[in-house]
Amino acid sequence: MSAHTDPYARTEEATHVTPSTEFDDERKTEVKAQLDEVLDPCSCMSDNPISILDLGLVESIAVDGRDVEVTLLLTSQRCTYFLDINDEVRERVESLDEVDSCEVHQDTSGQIWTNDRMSTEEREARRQRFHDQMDAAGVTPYAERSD
Amino acid sequence: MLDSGSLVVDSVSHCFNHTPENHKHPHAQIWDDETYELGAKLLPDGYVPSEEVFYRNHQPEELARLLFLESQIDYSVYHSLPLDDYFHDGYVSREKGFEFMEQNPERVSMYVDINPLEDDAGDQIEEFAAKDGVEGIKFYPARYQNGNDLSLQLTEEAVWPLLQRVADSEVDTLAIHKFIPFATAPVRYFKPDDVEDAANSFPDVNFEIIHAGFSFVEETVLAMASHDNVYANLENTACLVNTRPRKFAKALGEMLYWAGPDRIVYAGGATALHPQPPIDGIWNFEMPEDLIEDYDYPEVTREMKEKILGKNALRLLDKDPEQIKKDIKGDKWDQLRTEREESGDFPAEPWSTYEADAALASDD
Repeated sequence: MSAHTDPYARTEEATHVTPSTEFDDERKTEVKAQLDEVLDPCSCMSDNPISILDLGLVESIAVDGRDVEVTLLLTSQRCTYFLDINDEVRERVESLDEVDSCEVHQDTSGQIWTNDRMSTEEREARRQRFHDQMDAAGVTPYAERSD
Repeated sequence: MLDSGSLVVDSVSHCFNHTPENHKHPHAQIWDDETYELGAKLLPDGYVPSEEVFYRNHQPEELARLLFLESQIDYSVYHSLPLDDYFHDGYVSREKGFEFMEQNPERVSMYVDINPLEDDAGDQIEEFAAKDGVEGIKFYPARYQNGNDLSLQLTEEAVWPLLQRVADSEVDTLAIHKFIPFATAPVRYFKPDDVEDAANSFPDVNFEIIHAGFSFVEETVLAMASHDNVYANLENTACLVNTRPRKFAKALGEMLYWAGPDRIVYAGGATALHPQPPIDGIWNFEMPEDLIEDYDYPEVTREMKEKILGKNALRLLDKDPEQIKKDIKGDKWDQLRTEREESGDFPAEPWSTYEADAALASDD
């Protein structure tokens, strides 16, 4: 069934930071690994917690000397959990030996978070869950019904 | 009416009150401004109202002219809103809805807002559902009270018993705002998971999810495909057909593929939005070839478009299309349309029926 293909999978190269993003600067790679440990608070209330890196919230990582700046594009501009995410990102990144300080900014460029920013692995897992739920509900797609 | 002769039914209209006097909460101005900005993002050039037109207490007469002279809409469902935590009149008052319906009894039905936290909410449902022209009840998924955003998901203890009151009432449909977060309420309140539970437990109630397709498409499609009593209301989403056509095509494609064309209803979202562009957009819409090829989405036929733009809504309202055509033939709006058609002025220019010096937003 070709509709099993995920219509929301990313079709163009990501411009934000994803799990597969590679950096020349080793410190950025270490920061990225820390961000992969920060779970999105909303997803923690579901059965499938997901990191802010997998969710596609990390717009950029910048390093200036021993100071780090992380910019996040949130799913909602007024996400009430921004302060919690900010605190955990700072705590984790500042725990790195090479880092003195970490600032977390919110992207306000006007771009909108869309679900194709999620990591390929998470999108595939999410789509698979969708199909599993359809199967569990006994749903035959309308377009494939013969009657 | 469409060129094919099929009726156009608008499944959501409002008379908003965007005046400062209506503000009850510091966030009310933000809400007003974001509603305006949403229109600026969703409407094509030439359809964004001027601030003079937008920031007013819209009246039923203005809404009627907007719908029936500036668009092809033949019939509309007015939704009052229960946002009296932010606005003195709830943002879209019941009173104006009943006035609108009284002025246009052959062209308007109404869904009445209920705040589930009021002690007599169940009695209100019974009372309003018994009124002529009222065809549904409208809920919101969150409420700001005592400094907190409270969840009003259908599965909350405060809300669930009211579903039985709806089931026992004289209306068959419950509409609930979803998908577009507002104010400071958490995004999770806007997912449709609770609708699935409700649709499962109350199979005789139709659940109309407002703004379907705007986000959480897979969750929506799952609810629709597994429950025949779940409907997708395209208020605001319909505008994406013009301004974000790929997003619209995928949302519609997923709905059609999994759940079929019979439970999707167009809504114009007036007075926040101009209702005509999405009608043109849907009527002229063609599913992109690559999406048909890659995802098995169906071609969108004229029959499907007639269903989405009117027939499905009339079935949901239990109205006979031929009877509606008879009822509105020759009425005030039909006469004014005919006059305008003869002079080549139908639909009228966007916002031209409003009394304002500059009805359209300038390009500056």
